[in-house]
Amino acid sequence: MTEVSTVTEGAAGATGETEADYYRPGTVAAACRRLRETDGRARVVAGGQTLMPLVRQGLVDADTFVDVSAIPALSGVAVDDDRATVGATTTYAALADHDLGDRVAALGEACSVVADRQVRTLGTVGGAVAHGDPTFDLLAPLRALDAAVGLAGPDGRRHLPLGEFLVGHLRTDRRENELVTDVTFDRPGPGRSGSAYERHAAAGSGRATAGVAAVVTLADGTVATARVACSAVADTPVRAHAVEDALVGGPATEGAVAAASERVSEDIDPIDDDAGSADYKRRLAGTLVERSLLTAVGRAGGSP
Amino acid sequence: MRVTFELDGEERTVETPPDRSLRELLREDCGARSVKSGCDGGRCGACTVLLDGDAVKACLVMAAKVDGRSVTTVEGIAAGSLGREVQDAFEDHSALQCGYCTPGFVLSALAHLDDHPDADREALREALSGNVCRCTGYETILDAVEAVAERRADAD
Repeated sequence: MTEVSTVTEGAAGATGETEADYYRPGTVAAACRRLRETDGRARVVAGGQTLMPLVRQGLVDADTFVDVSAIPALSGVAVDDDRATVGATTTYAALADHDLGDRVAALGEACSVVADRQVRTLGTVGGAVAHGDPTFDLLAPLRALDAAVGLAGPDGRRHLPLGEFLVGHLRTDRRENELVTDVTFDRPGPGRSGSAYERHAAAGSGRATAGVAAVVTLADGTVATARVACSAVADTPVRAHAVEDALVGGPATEGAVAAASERVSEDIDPIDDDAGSADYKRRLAGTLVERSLLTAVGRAGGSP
Repeated sequence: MRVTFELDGEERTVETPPDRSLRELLREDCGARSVKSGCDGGRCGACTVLLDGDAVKACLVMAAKVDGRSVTTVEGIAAGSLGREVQDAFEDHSALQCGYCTPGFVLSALAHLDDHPDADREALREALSGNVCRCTGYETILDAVEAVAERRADAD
């Protein structure tokens, strides 16, 4: 693998005030070596769709950029009988176009509504995970799929549940010299399972006011399993356990879904901001939980 | 660092800080003034260019990433191409007033029609949602792009 290494010389331009180093390693090991050598002074770049506005606002304090987009091992989707792995540099557009986006509808739907076409062309799954912004659409379906995050670092590789990795608003468990390598999850079994992602965003805003992903499995008209996760209504994309508990073991009917959906307020903690008041978001979340569950139940072969 | 890339079919080599935006690199170092500077934060789409054929916002692309790749601006659209057909349709449908957003719209429309030649109006509305126009109210833009899609569908 080649490793491009360049050092900027001379006066910086209007925005490149940090005369930063830029590396484009070809392997995960080489990327990790750079991160270790720069000792917390490096930023990882993939698609750059979140990073560039931060750089331009002067919010990125880094003297080195490690561009992971040329590492073949980080790109692409692998699916075996029951487990799916999505590489960190897989773009939203690529995941939306992949069969997995059809088979796990919530994923495809979330990837298709992120920002706009141009951003989905470059924005990556790993970037969404590593940035830890709870308004990012993709995080809700990944939480509802009980996904795990893969990380590579100086001490080797580790995996941890996404719910543990996302520790707060823009805060993750990633160490400075670690790299997000992939997300993995069990593919919901065929036939009796279904999923959906429903979100609302203000016109002109690519960002979710609230979003809800639901993944359900049915057995004889009864809800066997239900996982519901919400974006943009708490510090992290949270699971709606109260809704799930209210559903599991009961009938997959419209009435049962409506009653369970009201309980979403027990697990979320929205704030007042430009997107809307906390009260509005609580009510919106309830509506989106109901819609996503009804669609997921329908896709699982139920008739709510 | 030094980046070498193809701009509208011509090879260019430029010295640039790596974390500069491609939008600045194109306008200020390469004189590509059709790449408009709008919000510079990824919201307006005025700086949209084709990077290896895909529409991207130049303000969201780190300059270092352009090394070894190909960039097409609205000035690089070849005669007789789908892109030129989109440009002509903008003129036919009066799909612009001040024109500032037009290069971005043309390139976004071109990229989408390349992938989905028979896109309907709703799909086009979504495909163009990353581009902002403050003059037209969008309907004439959609008329123009839809007309190209319909002609392409009829030709098939």
